[in-house]
Amino acid sequence: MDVQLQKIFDSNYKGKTLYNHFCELYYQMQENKYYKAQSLSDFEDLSNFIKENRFYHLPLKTADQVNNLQDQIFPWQEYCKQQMQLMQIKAKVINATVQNFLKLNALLNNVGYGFTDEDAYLIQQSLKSIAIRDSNIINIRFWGKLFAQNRDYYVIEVQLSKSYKEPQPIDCDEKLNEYVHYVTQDLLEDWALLPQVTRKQMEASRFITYVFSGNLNKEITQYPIFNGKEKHLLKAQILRITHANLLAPRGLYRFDDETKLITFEDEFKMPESAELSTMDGWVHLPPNILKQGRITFYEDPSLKEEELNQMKEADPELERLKSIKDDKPFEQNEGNWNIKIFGETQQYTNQEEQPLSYQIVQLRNYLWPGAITVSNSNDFISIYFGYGNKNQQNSFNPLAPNDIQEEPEDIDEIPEPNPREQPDELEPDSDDERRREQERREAELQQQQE
Amino acid sequence: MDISFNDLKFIQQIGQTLNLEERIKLKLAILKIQEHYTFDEVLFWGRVEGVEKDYYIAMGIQYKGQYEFPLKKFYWSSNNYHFAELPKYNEEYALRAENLREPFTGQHEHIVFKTEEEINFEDSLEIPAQLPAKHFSELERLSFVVQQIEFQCASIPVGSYRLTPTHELIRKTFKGVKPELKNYQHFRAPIRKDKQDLIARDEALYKEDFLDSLVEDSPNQQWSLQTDSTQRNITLRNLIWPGYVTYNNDYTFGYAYFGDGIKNSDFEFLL
Repeated sequence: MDVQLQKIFDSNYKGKTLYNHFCELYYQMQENKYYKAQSLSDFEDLSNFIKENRFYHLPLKTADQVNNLQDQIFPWQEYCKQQMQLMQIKAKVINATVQNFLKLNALLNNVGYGFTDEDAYLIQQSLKSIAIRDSNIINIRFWGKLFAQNRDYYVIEVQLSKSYKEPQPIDCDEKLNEYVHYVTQDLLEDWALLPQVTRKQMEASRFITYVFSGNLNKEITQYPIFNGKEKHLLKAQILRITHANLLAPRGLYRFDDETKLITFEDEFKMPESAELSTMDGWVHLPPNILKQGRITFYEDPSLKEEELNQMKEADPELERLKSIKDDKPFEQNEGNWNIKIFGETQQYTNQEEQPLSYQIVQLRNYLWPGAITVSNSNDFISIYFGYGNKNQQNSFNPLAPNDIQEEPEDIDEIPEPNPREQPDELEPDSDDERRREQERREAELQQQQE
Repeated sequence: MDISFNDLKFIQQIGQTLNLEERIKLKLAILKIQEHYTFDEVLFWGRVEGVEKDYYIAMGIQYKGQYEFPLKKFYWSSNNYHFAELPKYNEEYALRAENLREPFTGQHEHIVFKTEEEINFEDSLEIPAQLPAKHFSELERLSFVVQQIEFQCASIPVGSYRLTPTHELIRKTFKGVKPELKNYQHFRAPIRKDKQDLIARDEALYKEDFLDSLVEDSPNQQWSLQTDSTQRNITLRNLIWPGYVTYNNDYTFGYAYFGDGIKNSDFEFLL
């Protein structure tokens, strides 16, 4: 017994014997004035503390490690597999205008926004993978990132070819759902298509300020009542942001009044950087969304012309390709857009006496904080990073519910009419009535006789 | 955030970053702060965006010789990258400034409120040699906002610092934490009773979470904890001060603020 005990005491771990450890423990219990070790519960804490401080600490195994002796799965396996898959996406030909996000991200980084190069590469691959998936796509760009409570959303915007007509929800014009969006919460995972939005949902979303939770199927409990889940509200907000913030340099597009189509201008030259750095150089590309929740005004045939005119004035359709200079100014500022210049501001002239400029212009929207457009003399990009809400200059004021309807006025009571002719005889209902009728008739007869 | 700016990739998760010019000039300017006052660490705290110009904030931390909690000093600079100490703010007007929604203009002398104090000389026998009250300038608003964000938001993962027997904080070798809210704590002198008791009893020397935990912040949904695809790079964001990020992965941790300095006072209504 003694020999065994001696052996245990002399057992060695990193140069320390168990016996030494016990001595140390006993010493600390007596001498250490910081840690008043008094009972069994303190024993292990103190032992651990001593071990840590003498650099021969071995952390305790968790219950998982002891009970479930599984095969070691390489923890990064899933991640590596997905990343490899994404990197290998390639196609012979893609018949769509895919934005060169990798290059444009570098432009964003120069103004203090944007993603890391690795994320930008993944986004570029994702753009390709969606373009390959659907052959009706003519235009695809990265829209931006919407932050949410639990998991953020990455959004890609797509335009389908005009020949492909999708059924639209009721009383919605097809222009509203012209832009189609795909959304994902993790760049390595698959992208989900957001549903079309209805007019009522668009109307209601104007009054809702909401921080997205990250769950696409969450019920929205806000006032005014929004008939839809989070994915519908997400789509509505994305559309509102796009229609308010997607810009193009002046002269790139042309609006044809007869066909009501936007086409590229035949001879386009990027405006001078001096013009690009003022609000004159930029126009809104998509149409304005009316308060009604549509693009073109809906004329309800049941309403009178006067009412319709009034409604039209309150909710005017704006002209296409309008300059951003005419946007409603935000508070005391001179417009809705803040313009900043980055990069090299030195003006150069090249051999042909033409001005060269390497400066980068950043336009930020005041009303929608997080919506920016960045451009240099060759490229431009519009993107959004934010929570998806307007800049509320006033404290939150919930929308007042409708007035309580008042009771209708009571109509005046008038006495029952007395006909000229006596109505037909009716059987009396009860004995009392019979008697009364009898008496009444006798009284009448008596009067007549007199 | 460390001035080597290796950690910018975490901030890029919220779409913000520093461009090359900013990084170069900030590195030089922050190193210059050490000329006048030696700190244990000088870190880049964040960028407050303004309409015309932006403000850059740096923070110097002194651990040694500080009982209870290290000393933090803040420095500000505008686009000229010349750091100066952030001044004290007028307490009464500061509270009004907390809920302002106007953006910072970038001009630090811009007056936010006019103070309406009249100095009454009637009753005193001698006129005190006092200057009339200064108006509440944007610089004071900035100072207040930075202090508020630091107080309400600044957080570190559990296990990153320990309390020494002389009640100084020291940084430990950090090994990463699981992405759960309870694994983070405020980086400030504890104000909650239970943690203060812990420190008074010296039990905090043996615990890793001896500072105020984030779990007890109310409302709890103001914290948004997210990881990226690798599940290793964790960012913890605050929704009441949008733009604030605490980040960590298995090797490093830190925090920074990249935003417009406006508090989201309506937060409770947005859930």
